[in-house]
Amino acid sequence: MKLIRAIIRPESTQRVIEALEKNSIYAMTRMNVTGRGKAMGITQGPVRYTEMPKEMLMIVLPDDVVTKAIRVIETAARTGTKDYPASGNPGDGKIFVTDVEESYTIRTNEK
Amino acid sequence: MKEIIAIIRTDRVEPTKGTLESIGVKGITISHVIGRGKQRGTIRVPDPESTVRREVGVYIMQQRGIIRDADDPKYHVPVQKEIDLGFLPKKMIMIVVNDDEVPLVVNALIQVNRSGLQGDGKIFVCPMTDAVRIRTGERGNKALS
Repeated sequence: MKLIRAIIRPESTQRVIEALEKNSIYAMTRMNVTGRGKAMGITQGPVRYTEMPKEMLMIVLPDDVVTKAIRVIETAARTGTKDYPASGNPGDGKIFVTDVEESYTIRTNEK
Repeated sequence: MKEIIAIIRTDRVEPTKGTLESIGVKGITISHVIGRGKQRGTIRVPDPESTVRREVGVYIMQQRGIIRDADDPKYHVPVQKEIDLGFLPKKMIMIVVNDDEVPLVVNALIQVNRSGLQGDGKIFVCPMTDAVRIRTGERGNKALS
């Protein structure tokens, strides 16, 4: 099993969730986070914003679905310009994948 | 070292904290999250508008005089209706413990949070490669004790 943590734009969350639903991935946890990346926030005129609001999705999946899920999140979360809709912009987010050794359902005590 | 991520009901946080304290787990991180599981955030409630005629136990209820005639409301039971709530509020608890404490903590978490109903939550155990106590710079298992 793998744990996918996707940090994405808040406005693209709904699009990502719908794309995952189409690939029959329903179980996930969402949380609001703030952060910054390589670009160290953004500068609007004289004001510098060092932390941007983002949305983090946490999804635990069996190994064989992980590659597909990453591709789905990637294509749904990528923004672009009007002429090139999937060219990508800074701030689209990151996807991290880590190992999960065991998982339990509390209701049934299943492993 | 292992990281234990437990996603539990919001009203079970206080009992969980008490139990973890009693088994000697001191450092925990709790955050508010929203999520859904296999059921996609649906709950089942009785629908008062649509009913179905009771099939089981009618004869006994007639014998005992609980049901008098066919129009008796007790003759009908409400149908279970599914309501889609989307993402439900939950609490996420993160604990980092030594390898040998993992079964103890996981069993304690299951015991406290188990009500047998859908939405009790999940527990994930992930490997954790290193830990640092910022105050002293201690590393590994020393940082946890």
